[in-house]
Amino acid sequence: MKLSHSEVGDTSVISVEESRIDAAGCIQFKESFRQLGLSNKDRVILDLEGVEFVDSSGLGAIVAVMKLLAPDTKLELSGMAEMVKKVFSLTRMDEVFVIHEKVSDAVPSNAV
Amino acid sequence: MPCPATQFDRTTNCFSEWVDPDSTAVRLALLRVQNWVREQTFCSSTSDSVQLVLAEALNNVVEHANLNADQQIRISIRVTGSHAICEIRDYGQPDRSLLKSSSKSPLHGTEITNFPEGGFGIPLIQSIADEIRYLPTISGNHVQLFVPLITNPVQI
Repeated sequence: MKLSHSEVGDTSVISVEESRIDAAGCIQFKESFRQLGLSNKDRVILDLEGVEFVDSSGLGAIVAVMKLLAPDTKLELSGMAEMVKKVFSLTRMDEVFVIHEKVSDAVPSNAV
Repeated sequence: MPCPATQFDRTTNCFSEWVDPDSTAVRLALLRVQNWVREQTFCSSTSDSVQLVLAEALNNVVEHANLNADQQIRISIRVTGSHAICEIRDYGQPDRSLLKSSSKSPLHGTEITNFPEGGFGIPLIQSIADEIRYLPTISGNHVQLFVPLITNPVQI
């Protein structure tokens, strides 16, 4: 799965360049994320702006990458479509992650 | 009312097709479902719900019904006045897990490092569907999921 990666100070911004994180792509998502080697960052923002669909397998994959980083690095989310918000809300995962409306809300504009 | 053999018939508001029992085939079928629901007068929330409950139900079958590669899964959607009824039929191992009570998210009361990476699918279906019916069948599973309809208001 294609992920793009940029650095803003101590924050990494990872953008998902696919429209779905689902059962068919969750293993590739976890592997692509793992290969970024982000464990020494203070914050990681996972930008989901291009993602239209997440199922429970995709949700599990996002939990998995959060656990890869924890406990020293926070994984935050941004750019969630309504459908993705719905999945997070119904599973109460929205209470677990810090969620930003846009990636620019998560990273100070003068730093981008 | 049985669905016609075609994948989509506008006159009967019905969608149906056979899906191979693997996650890539499920994704492709869901994309066709997405195209179909977008042609209906559902609001986007209902469209998302239909696609999500079918995704979870199909992935559940793929993971747990122990189907052979040639044992396809039948899905159909038909629209009544108040619901989109999503049906999933397979000829694999009987599995009534959809009927088990699991209203709590698997995250409930769990430390981050112990968060489960699975177990969200059935709670998602149960939280979206108004009703879940498991129909008697000689072999396999036949499930109906009743997704409440919210139609877009008519533009004047």
